[in-house]
Amino acid sequence: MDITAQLTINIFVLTFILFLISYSFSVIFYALKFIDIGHAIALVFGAYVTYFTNIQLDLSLWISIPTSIGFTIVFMLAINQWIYKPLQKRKLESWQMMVISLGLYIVVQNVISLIWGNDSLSLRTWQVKAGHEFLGAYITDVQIITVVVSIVLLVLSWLFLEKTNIGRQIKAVSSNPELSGIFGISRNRAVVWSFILGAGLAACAGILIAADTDMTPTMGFNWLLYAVVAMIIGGMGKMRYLLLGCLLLATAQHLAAYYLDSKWMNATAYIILIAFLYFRPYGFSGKRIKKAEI
Amino acid sequence: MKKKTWFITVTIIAIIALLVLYFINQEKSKTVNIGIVLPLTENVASQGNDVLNGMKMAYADFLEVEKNNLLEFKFIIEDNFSTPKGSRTALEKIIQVSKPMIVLGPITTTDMLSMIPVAESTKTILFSPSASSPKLSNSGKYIFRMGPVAPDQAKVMSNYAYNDLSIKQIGVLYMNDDSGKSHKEAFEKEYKTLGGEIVFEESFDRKDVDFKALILKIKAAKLSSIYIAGTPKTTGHILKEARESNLDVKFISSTGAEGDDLLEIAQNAAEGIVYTSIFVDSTFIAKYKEKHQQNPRIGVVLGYDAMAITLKLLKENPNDKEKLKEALSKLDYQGVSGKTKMLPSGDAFKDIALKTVANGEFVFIK
Repeated sequence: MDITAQLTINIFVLTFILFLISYSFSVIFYALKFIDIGHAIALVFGAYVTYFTNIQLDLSLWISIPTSIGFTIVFMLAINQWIYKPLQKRKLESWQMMVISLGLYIVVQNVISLIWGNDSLSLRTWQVKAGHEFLGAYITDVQIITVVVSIVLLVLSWLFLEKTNIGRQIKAVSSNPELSGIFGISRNRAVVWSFILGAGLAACAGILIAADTDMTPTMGFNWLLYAVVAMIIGGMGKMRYLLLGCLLLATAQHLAAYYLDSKWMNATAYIILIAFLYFRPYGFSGKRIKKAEI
Repeated sequence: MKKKTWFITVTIIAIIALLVLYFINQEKSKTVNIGIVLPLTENVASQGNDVLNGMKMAYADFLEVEKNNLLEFKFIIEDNFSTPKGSRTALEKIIQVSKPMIVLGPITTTDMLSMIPVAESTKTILFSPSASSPKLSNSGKYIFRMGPVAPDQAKVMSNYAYNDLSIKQIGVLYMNDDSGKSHKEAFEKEYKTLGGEIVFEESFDRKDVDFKALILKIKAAKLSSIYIAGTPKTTGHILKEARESNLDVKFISSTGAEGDDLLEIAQNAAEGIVYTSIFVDSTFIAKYKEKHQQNPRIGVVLGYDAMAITLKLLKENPNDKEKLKEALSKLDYQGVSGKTKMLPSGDAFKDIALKTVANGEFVFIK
């Protein structure tokens, strides 16, 4: 049993799940320009709809996972269409939008609690067995799937944003909505596609988390907070800075748990956040959040 | 004149008849309210539901035996959401709305501690089927419990671990709340008295589901055996993740391990865990198995006895709370969970048994 190898694997798996969530969050953040706490809904929704279709309706995972991702996307689009969009049209401040999204998240979380209970639910129908040995450490099937799926999804998202026409429009709107409007790029269309991408990725993350450590209605918020911390540490802009932020956060959390106490895992995240805001307020990338200006 | 006498006679007879009917009716519909506060959702829900099922069985059996029972029992069941705050609110609600003769529940020490001030100030008898921390000893005149207390369990478990399993060094994982801490402290004290050594100690939270960091530390500490003081859910997650990272240690625990969640979460990884529990009457096991195709869990058995004791005492003292309290404090009862002898501290003396998980079932170690 090699401790360093096991520690590395644990950090690696956490990094990718964090990266998936923070990336999905940042896509929507750039499009909407406010901290959308409602994004946590997508995470919880993905897991619970999968539970509903897979365990309660007894459909196979191959059907229930795409169904739940689709359902989550539709739900998040509906939230954007009927709640965020009309409110943003009324020129609400970004902090007001954030409070609204927080309220929305609490409502949805409570509805989920009412339907499925506050108890943790499990997607597991497979046997509990020892993981695969890898350099003296052990990694389970779910963890391997988590890493592989995260990498594939992130590469696909990157290709989508860089190589497709819609992707480029999203980037244009994200960096300067007014100017893109002048060039005839529809802001609305870009926001919708950001939601499809962001909600879809978050739903996948939710399902992967639930497969590993079961789901609770409150898990969305906890994970989202880590993702936001990772995003702030990483700084705005390039994907690699985001990855760096996630890696730093995951490493610090696991090292703190190992050398101090496992109860320090949560506190560490916020200590790092405060330290970064104090000494390096724009994260690794050093870039400020771009403000739309003409 | 004649007509008038007749009218008066009829009226008097009618009044007497009405009065007689009223009294008979009153005698028959003498309702006794029994409050029940249990965790029916959230973390310890599986144990809470076990206890409730046991209580229902005891009531059904009581009705079968006592066919001429004139008392009518009304049960007011409240969920405490496995939280101290929920427990207190539930108790306050029951006391205000239905003025119960006795309140049964809750399950955990932490929840019970929050209810004690309310119970004491309103002189409501609180009778827990399972709370086990020594913190509850002598905590009030109206506070009783029949669960096997932590020090008694610790004595049996540390003796078994040290002498029978020859474990001389052990790591301790405990849930960071009153029940977890009380089991941990009691176990460590007894184990050290025997000469054992505690080489590792770490706590976790009631809501934790991810124990990867903890498992890694256990691996690094090269432990061969671990004592867990937790709930079925947290214990289940620890055992599951221990198996997934191929951690080969002997797990021992307390009554806190017994519950459906342990088997559901850990599945085959739960096999072999040894924990302390109570004795269960073999005819009860047979009867339960016939109906439910499985062994009764500790919650069912304790719930059954708590209800059986309550009904028996209420039958003798249906309307005097003080007398009921006196009777409960002098209780010496032989039930399906063996002997329950109430001590002056409000704790009950119970015989402790050792159990394990074999082939997906909780079984006694012979």
